[in-house]
Amino acid sequence: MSAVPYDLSYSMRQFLYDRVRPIILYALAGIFVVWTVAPVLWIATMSVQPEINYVSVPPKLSLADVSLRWYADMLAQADVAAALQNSIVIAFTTMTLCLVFGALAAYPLSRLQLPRKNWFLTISIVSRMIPSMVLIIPMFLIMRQLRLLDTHLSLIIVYTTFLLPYVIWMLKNFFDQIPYALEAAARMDGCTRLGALFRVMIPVAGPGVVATAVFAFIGAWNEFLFGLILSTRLAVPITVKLSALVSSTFHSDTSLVAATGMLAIIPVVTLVFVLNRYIVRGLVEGVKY
Amino acid sequence: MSRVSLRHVAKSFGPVQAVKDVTLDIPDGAFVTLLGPSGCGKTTTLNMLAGLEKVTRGDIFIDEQNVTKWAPHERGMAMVFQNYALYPHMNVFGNIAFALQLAKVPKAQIKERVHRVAKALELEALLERRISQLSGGQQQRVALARAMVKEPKVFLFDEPLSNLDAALRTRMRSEIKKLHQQLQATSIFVTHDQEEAMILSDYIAVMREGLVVQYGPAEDIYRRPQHLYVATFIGKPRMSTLSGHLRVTNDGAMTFESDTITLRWPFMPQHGPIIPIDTQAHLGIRAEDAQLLVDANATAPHSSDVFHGEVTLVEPLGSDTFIEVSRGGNAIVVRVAPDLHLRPQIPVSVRLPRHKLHFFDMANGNRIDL
Repeated sequence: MSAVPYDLSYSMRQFLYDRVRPIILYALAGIFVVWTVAPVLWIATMSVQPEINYVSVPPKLSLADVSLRWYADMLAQADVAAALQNSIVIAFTTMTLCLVFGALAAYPLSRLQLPRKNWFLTISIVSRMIPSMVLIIPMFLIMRQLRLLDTHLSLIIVYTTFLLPYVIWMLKNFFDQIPYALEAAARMDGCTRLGALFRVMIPVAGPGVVATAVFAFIGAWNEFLFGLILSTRLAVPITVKLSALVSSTFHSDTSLVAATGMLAIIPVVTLVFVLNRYIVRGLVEGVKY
Repeated sequence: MSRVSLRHVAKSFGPVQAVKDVTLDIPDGAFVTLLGPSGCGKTTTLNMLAGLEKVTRGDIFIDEQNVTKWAPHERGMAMVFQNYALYPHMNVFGNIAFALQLAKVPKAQIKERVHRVAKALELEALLERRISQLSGGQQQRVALARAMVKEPKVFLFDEPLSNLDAALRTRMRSEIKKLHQQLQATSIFVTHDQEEAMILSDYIAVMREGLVVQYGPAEDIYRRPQHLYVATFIGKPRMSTLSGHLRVTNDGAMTFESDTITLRWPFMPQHGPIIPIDTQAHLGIRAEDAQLLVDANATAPHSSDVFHGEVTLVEPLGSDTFIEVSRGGNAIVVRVAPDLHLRPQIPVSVRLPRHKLHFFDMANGNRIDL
């Protein structure tokens, strides 16, 4: 800081800007992080401690009591393991279908001169403004008619239907950012339009495509309502199973419920962590060309 | 090495006619530029040639073969794009080899051809680099290599220089010109930069609003513009124009009058049969054709082909100086020797030699041949 007196007010402002401002910003960011993460941390803590430790006031958490036995117990239950497996199969298939159909729809919407293109885009997204509750009965009746109740396929179809408009919008947005010339170059080099899509557009939109895929996966993974209505025994997803456990009187042990909750969280969180780099790039930077 | 022809080619995007009716014959091995401002249809024309855009009407021929409906890669053309359009997810080798890989050329042969082209363009050391690690000039060379490796019959260039900084643009322009001199392959170049067009081309097609206004050797485009639009688009500085009334009488006397000036040229029988003219017209003269008179009294007695005015602008370029001489809303730009130290507001006289003048009909802009 300057020793010259008349410079003092300026130095003060500089000091506030250089030293105090970051502290405030980080404090705010910290509050936000705690706000978001605390419940998850609490669930994680509960899932490795006996119930008595955290229901007492104040909580008596102890490292000595840490155990994974609640996880083991839950995974040992055939229906929980099956529900996890159901969710993985359903979410993964939904994600794949969303990407394939989404790319095939987003590409022409982004690149071709189509009549009423914007109508299609608007209608597709407006259809998602309808509360899903409204569609429960028709969906149930359709699935019953198709004899698909309590199958993976019924949930895959429903989730793909619901997520596809978002996926199309996201992918179209990413494709829009790729210069036309890049695709033209691919076509000059011998690609068909479809070839240019798969060999150039999708790889170049890579981070965006990954972000979209993760979005679709999470969307399918977290869905509850249709899972509840359309599955009874065989195709029950983990969200529905979890809810059943929470409300079930047979499981009075909260640690078991917490462990199941963690089991539902872990695959998604892992996925996001593994692909973190691409997701951030895809969502923040868009397509870097 | 191929001849390319467009026959009454047109393209509409919905109600918009981007290209109205283009007919061009491009000789074997020529460097042809489609020149015009943005929106004149030059890029659309190029895209139709390449097969990237479907043709609404008309036919395209390569060596007498109608290729109008062929896919882009079947036409034996290669294109260098604005911003190069290199594949960012591949390295330099991948970019150059991509077309050959798609054409299922054997691996060993791909390698050999890529290396040969890379060597010619001094890219050998960069083959493993990612595109994002290259400088602008290197990217342009990769784009050229990607086109050359296909050994195309025709090279297409879509404003490849327009986004480069001035120094690099000049260097790349020379590189493209040298490349054409080496390969002697038919090349079609799109640009809005008339200087670039003049420097590179054997032939220029000046386009406006989806039509070719004039097509011919670059020299002709510059020396004998067939339309006021071509005259003022080509050349730097812009051709000066005066508007007024042009009269040519049976005995060959010629006058050009406007509110503030009257110019008169003497009887000149050597210009062939005289067609009497009496019309509103634009007079055009290039900066290098107008002559600054040092001694204003030294004009020939029978002619008054002199424009009197005062200097309103002095633009020294080092090698030349351009001055603007104005009078009553009319202005003429004149090239003068750089050692002439002129200042604004000095009264000067400019001689407009009869055989250097261009006249254009005010009604339709067409050249009036005298």
